[in-house]
Amino acid sequence: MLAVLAGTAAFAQDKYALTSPGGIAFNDFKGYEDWAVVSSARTDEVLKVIIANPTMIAAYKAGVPNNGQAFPDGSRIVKLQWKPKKSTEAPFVVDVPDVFSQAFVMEKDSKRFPNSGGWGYALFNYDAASGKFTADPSPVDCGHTCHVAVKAKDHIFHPYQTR
Amino acid sequence: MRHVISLAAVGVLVASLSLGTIYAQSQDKYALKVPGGLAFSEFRGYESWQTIAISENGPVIAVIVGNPQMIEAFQAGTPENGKPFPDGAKMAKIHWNAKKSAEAPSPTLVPDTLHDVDFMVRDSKRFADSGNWGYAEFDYDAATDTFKPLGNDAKCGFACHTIVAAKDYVFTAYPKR
Repeated sequence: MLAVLAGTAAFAQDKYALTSPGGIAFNDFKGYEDWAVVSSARTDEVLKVIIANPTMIAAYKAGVPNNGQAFPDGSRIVKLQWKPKKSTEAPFVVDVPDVFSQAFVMEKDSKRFPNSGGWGYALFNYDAASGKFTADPSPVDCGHTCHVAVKAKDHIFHPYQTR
Repeated sequence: MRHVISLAAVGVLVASLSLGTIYAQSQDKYALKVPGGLAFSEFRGYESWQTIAISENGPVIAVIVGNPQMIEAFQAGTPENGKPFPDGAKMAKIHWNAKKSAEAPSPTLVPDTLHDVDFMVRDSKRFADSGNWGYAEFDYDAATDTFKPLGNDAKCGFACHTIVAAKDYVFTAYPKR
């Protein structure tokens, strides 16, 4: 009985207890599974959906960042990344998500992250075999260094796509 | 003073013209209906629905989203648990033309203009003769910022989706996140 309980407890990880080496708590993004879509993307390795919390979606809809304003503190955005696979069912050739691989997260807090454009960055990796998330050991993936390329868009690559 | 007034008048005129232009261009997509089929308004609010999955095949990249009933059913294990989606479940597939990102640090395809939006709604009474699902497709023209319905009924997807009848006619799985 105890063994069964222990086994269950070990399996059901509380991913929201994780914190990145840079100090970003996964818990700050609690409920991201339900956020609305911003955009999507495809690299050789992964299929991505970019989603954001209601604060950030409302800012996008109000015209940020093209109106010259910045996303407000409390804005949160997550890039969900899946390994692709060819659909075995679709009547045409199409890649669809295989296993989940990563959640790349950003949160805006101009007081807390004054040295990185007001944004905090973290990467949480998912291992499908164990069903567990881990905080990526590097301080930030490419984070601020990469996102400086789009500083004029308040460091956000993806616009809110027409739908 | 006259000069100031005339400038103000010109300002008002320009503002009116701009408003007229905006109104002329902004189509009410929710007034559209597939002849003999579904109305766009049956899917009102799809812009904010949650993500089910993504797909990509080169020219187009898609995000598939579902209404709360659909998402709840997926999260409860449908269709793998053998249960069908409930009546009222709705999903939308948003297709964008793909383009290479000019900004991403590694080669990345990102959405360009919207291509079309496809919808499915489950209603076992209304669509009993097409697997309990109604289908609709609205093509989008970026140049005019307008949608246009395709087809003449609510069965346009039935033939293709029959391949996945065992999954209650839904191709897209709800992957881990």
